Amino acid sequence: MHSDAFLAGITELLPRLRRFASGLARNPVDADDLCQAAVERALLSRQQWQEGTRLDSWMYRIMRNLWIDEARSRTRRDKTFAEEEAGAQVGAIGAQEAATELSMVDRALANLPDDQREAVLLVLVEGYKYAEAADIIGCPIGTLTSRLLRGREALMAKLGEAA
Amino acid sequence: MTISAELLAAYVDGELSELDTARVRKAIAEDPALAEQAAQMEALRKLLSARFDPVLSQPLPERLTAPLADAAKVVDLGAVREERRRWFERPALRYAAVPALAACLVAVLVIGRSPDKAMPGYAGEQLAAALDTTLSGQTAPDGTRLLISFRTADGAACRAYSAQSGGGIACHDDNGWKLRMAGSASGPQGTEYQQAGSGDAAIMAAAQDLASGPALDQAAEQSAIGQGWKPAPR
Repeated sequence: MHSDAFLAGITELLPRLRRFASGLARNPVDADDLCQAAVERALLSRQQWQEGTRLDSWMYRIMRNLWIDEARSRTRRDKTFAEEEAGAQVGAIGAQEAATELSMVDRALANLPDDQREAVLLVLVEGYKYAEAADIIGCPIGTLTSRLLRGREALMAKLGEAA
Repeated sequence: MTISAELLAAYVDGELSELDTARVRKAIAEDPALAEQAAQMEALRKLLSARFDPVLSQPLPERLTAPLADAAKVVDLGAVREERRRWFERPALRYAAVPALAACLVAVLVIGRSPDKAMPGYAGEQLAAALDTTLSGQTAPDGTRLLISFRTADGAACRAYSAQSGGGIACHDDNGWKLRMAGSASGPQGTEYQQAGSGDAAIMAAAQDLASGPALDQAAEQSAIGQGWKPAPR
């Protein structure tokens, strides 16, 4: 593939970055927009990545920061509109029952505050340790664990029957 | 022992020490309500994975892979240059053969050149001399550092260079070295073998766009120097 370790590393991370993006963004098109923006930002900021440090954390941090910037500028009206959309676009998954359940996951996640959503995604979906997730977000571990706990409780309350 | 929700979550997430893990495990075994809570946390993780893990096996859209593939092309040109630079840094060549060879070539080419024939849009005499005789990876006496040589689709020989006053790309034609791109200065010229500056990266990217085929290797460059950078036969 790429002779360049940096580019090869990002290429290898793409599926995981897309998974993270699809949890952060509210529909698949926005998710790929976010992912593309993160890749472009990474290529431009290449000098800032220090060899020997973790490329995955660096990439997740870039994506997360882009998403936060975007989320801050999002209006309340857009948010409501996107939430309705989010429930409607998971039909392709398969069985009717599964689709209903999964769209519930999307809706429940969409209702979480952004800081809880990213904590839940990094730990429960991306499989990061608390310390790693806190490092990506740039917050103390205690903050991460309390956001994670609140996010997890809110999701369990919403998805009680499904979970 | 009372198990807080936070401690239970840390247990489910595998964040506890062996000792604490054993404690929570014991508490769960003795308390069905706690066991139920832990099971719900596990179930949530599974539910989230079922929703998001399928994304991992989806084909990647071209708009995500293309920027990386494009960047790799530019870098590959840089890698050729780097390889050549290393070759020339071998002590024997660096201190003996190269300067001697360069001196011969300068002598031959400077004698052959009529002075002050620089035209607007063409390299001046000093830059032209550097472009004529300096191998890529080397720095000419005037401080111009040659980055890479390549040919365009119509066979013209072009060279990308970096200089304190601003780098660029020049292509050889009947009138001399026509300037195709003038970039920004590449930064302080502290050492002979400096890292490529950000200006260099833009020049290399432009070279990638202009080039047809791979960068000239060291032998091809020697031959082009010997033949005055004539266009390739079509």
